[in-house]
Amino acid sequence: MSLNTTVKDNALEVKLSGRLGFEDHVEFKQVLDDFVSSQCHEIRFLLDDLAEVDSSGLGMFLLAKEAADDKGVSISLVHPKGQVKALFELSDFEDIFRIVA
Amino acid sequence: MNNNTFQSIDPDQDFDATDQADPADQKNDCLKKWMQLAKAQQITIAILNSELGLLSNNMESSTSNITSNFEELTEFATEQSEHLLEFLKTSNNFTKDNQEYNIEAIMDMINVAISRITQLVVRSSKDCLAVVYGFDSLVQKFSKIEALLFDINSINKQTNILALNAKIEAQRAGSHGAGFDVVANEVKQLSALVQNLSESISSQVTVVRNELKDSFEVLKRVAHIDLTENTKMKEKIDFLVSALVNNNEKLADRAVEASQMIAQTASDNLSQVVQDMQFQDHAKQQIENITHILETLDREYESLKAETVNSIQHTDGNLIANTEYLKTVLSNCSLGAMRNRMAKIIEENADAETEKAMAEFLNNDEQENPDNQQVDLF
Repeated sequence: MSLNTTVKDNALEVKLSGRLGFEDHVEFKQVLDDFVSSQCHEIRFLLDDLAEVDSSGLGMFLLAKEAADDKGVSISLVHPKGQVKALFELSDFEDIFRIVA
Repeated sequence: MNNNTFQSIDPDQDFDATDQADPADQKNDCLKKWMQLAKAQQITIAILNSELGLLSNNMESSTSNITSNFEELTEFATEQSEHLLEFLKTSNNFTKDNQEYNIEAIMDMINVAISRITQLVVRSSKDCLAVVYGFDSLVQKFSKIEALLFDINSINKQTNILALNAKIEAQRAGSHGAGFDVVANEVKQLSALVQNLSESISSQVTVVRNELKDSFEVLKRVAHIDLTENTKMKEKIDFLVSALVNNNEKLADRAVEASQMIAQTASDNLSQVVQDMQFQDHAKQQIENITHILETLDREYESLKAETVNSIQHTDGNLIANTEYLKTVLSNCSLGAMRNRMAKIIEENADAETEKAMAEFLNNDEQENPDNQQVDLF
């Protein structure tokens, strides 16, 4: 998995690509810690190039949701595709996140 | 079969004419013969009317039966197609313990179950990750403790060197440094104690770190589950349900088409049969007409007989049929049952003498032409 972050319009955009799994949890946590300590009022995960995700990856998004809720800011998952989109549907993520198709 | 014709009939003995007969008697005899023939024809008309009535009734009854059977057949075919249609419509449902289930609903339930399981797995993974992050934090803190222990060890080494230097200086000072030597020894012992304590703490930290590492691996296994199979399973179920329902809908549609076609064909066929059976009405009307004609003819005979009897000499007006005429009529009938009915009518219309002659004729004919007695079957 590769991860790139940019700040745009006071929102933290995290672009993920490849496969998001347990081995990425340290890097992901760092992004969350940076976000929590930042002044950003939104976090957006850009998922166009994210090909695959496992249960840990989905768990990381839930932790991000908790972090965003604790900070009182919004979180969105943008352009999920294929297996990622199917798992979002199966996990009822549309009831938890704002998903931008 | 006897193929006699009226032309072959011998004149009755009582009315034999001779060349020497009086012309008036010849005329009288001729009239008598005509009257006998007329009587035979009247009986024959009665026979024909009876047979025509029987034929008409049989035709009407058979036609009615055929139409009724066809209607039943049509109803049966329609019912069959309706049952098939009903079966196909309900083939997506089944009942267990008085509870009706639908395949689509069941598949939805399975999908919901898969979704719930997936959600539970994802939430478990999230909790595991939260614990992992806690472990990471602990590991960082242990690293700080190890760094502090390293600092303690550095200080302890310096303290040890300091104690050693103090001991050297105390020995160099001789008796004046004896007290200082004691202090140097105590410091060295204290340094050894700190060293032991530091090593013990470092050892415990290593144990805890290793245990954390083991737990981390367990959490990693719990948190790291490939859910791709779940999505594939859901896709398969969706596909199967869709295919099953689609297939049943197609079958139901075809059944509807077949049902409509059967109903239409049956209706058309029934209409055609009813139309075809109308020939029976025409035949009945024709038979009735023939019967009326024959009855009219019979009345004319009766009227003419009354007129003619008065002009015939030596007769009481009670003319009887010439049995030869009737024998000829019966001989030309090849149907056994019909011959029996004809004989009965002759019996009803003839005098005892004629009846006796006819009984003898029939008895002889039965022996000579046994085929005529057989029941006529189709």
